[in-house]
Amino acid sequence: MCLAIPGKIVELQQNQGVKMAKVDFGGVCREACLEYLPEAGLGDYVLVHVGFAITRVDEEEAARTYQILREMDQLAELHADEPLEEPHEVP
Amino acid sequence: MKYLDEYRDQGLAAKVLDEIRRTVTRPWTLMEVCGGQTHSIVKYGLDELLPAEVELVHGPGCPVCVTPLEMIDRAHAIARRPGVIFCSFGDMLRVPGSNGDLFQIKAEGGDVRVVYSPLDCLKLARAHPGKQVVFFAIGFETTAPANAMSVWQARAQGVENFYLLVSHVLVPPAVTAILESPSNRVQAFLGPGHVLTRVAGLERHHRVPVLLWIGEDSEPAHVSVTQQLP
Repeated sequence: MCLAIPGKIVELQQNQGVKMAKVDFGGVCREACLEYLPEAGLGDYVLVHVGFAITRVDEEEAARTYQILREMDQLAELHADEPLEEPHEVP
Repeated sequence: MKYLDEYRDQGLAAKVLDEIRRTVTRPWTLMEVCGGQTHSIVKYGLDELLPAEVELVHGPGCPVCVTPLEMIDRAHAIARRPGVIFCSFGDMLRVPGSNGDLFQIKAEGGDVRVVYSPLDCLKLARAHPGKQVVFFAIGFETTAPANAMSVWQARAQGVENFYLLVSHVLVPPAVTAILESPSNRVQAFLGPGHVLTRVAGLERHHRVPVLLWIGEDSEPAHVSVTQQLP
């Protein structure tokens, strides 16, 4: 919840009228909302916090931060449950 | 360069501690704001390594741990309801209420989902129009913009089955209450990155220094920021 993770914008999207992007976090791709960073573009490195891009960073800074987070085992949230899984039936 | 190794370098930490010992000229009582900082301090025994003149007092802490019991119980009651998809950040799953935790509720058949972002819940709400999708919206000021945007988007998209159980807490009132207490001894704050933006405005008003501590889960060598103090 607290950490922002750096990633690279690999695709720009419009989703239901909202500026979104596909962000590559060292091989794991997740969506991020660009409404708070509308100037971000394809190829930019951004810090993403709870699904929102909050600032741009340079590539070297992004790589360093990502490496530290990986070593500290702080990347689990990238692998949170996929939201569109089959509904769970309540008995 | 392996950054983590450097932060845990005993020689470097010893050198920094030595410099702090040589620099400090008077007693200081410092408060760290974030739960991750408290964890690091206690885990590495930093409070015992620092010179006796520098006292660390533990501050407001992490929103996960300071969410009131009543709110946790409310979340659990909602998560147990049939027809509800209850969504939360992963770190809330093991926080105990009066009767178990979200992880147990999930094991007992409750539809509890770990999400990365409130926008994931919005997607779920669109995909399951017959369900009530509820997001446990906890956090300090830092998670509020994301929650606000998800509400704004839900309204713009006409989504009617998306709900938030809101339990936001603010840093300035907590810190102000501490500073204005007649028995207050805190003279400076160690603030992590984004929390610092909440506390920094208090510097001028209360004439209290706020020091930047980089990263919530700080490594021992980060204690070097205290060498700024006379």
